[in-house]
Amino acid sequence: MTVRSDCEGGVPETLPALQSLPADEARDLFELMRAAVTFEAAALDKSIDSMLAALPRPFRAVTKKIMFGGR
Amino acid sequence: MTDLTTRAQLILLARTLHVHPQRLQHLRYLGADRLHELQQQISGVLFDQHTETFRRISALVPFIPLSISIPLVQRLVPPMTTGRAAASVGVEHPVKAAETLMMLDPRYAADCAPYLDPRAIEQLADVAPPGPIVEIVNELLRRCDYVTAGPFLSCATPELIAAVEAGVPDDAGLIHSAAYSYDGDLLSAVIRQLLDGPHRRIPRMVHAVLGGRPALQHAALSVFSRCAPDVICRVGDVLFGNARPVEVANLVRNAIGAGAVPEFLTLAGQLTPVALWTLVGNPVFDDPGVGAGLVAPLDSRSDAGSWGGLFTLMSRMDEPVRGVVGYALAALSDSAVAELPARATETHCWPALLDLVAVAGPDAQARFGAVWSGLGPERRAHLHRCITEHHYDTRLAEITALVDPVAVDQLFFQRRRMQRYRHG
Repeated sequence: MTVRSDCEGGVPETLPALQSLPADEARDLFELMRAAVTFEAAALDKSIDSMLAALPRPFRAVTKKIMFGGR
Repeated sequence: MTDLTTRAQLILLARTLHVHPQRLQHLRYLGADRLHELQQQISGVLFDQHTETFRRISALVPFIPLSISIPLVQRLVPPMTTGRAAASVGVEHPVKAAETLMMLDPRYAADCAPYLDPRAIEQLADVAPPGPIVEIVNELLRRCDYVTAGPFLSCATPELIAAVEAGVPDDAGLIHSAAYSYDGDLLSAVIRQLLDGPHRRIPRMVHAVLGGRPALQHAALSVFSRCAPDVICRVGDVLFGNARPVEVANLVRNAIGAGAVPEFLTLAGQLTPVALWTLVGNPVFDDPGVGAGLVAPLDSRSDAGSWGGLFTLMSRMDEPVRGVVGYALAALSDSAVAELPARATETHCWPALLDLVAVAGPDAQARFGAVWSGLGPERRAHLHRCITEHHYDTRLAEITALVDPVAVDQLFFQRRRMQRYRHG
């Protein structure tokens, strides 16, 4: 069960600070940022799954409802 | 040499992107400010992408006792992830955040620290219990993770600083961390509090610095030179009031070797008369290499701090030292020599510059004259005026001969004529 990342794709088209850089440097940083976004999103998803599985049974229902309800 | 604040911002950006700092070395030309801006915006993206998820985690907090969740988190959740979530969740539940800090293993908390949202940390600083914070800072310093500790120390409230003052014994570690903190005003506030505090931390730190390795001395010079003038003044008194001459000599040589000359000079320019004269009297300046070593790094610098410090220090030296420094000024690049009059104006140190020029020797004066003769008419006129005002006409006759003066009324006439052509 994965939590969908809040912005689809997760990364804005550009950042103001990148615009003042030479194009190749901006592109490189942008790619690194995208990779970091993906990496951290995956880690968060995995953590939520692990926590859910490890929580004592009485807490699982409310956790599922709050974390995944209404999606 | 990359200054410490630039290096810190580079490391922080690399950490945010989960890459080795070496991968981003090519960006060090951007300098501390632009790197800081990049790092803030990129980490903003990383935090904001999970706003909804963190909101949900926050909504969950009242339903699950910390005694159940915290042990599981420490076992199952990577510190990076806890760090990212912690601050925004903590801001919603400050009491539970404080309780969480009391329960976390300081080692796990130190692992999370690099990933905390600085925007939220400032809000949480008021409610953070000092005890656990001190333990986390001690753990960070034990790991020599000064880049993480630095920003933390900048966020500290007076209460937290007092706790750190009392509970964090690592003097060198605190200095290295402070060298990586970005905001000069906050740094000044911290040092002011330490100066006035009951544990005499500043004298202790100064003692550690004077006996410490070049890297520590570099860090200390970087920290103190970025503080407000009143702080530099007081620290300078402690530094030079307590040091043995051989320790001061060591500090000066290490400053030159470590590329910390601008920082050292900035400090020197703000000292009290007593501290200044103590420094001036040190035999290290009799070594011609030292005088030259203090001038050469200023070739690419235009800041009033470094230049004011050079002029302030050198104007009080004996003639042989001033002669070496004057000669070294002439050996700077053309653009640097051309800008010397501007430096003197900005720092209000015309007498010092003229004196250094006067004792620099005929070869150096020929060079000054040659470069300054290429200045624009207004700057040449200003130079002549300053020479006359400070009574250096005779001593600098060679230069005034080389630098073609422009009569002031002729200058106005030419300007009026140009304006007429423009509007005519």
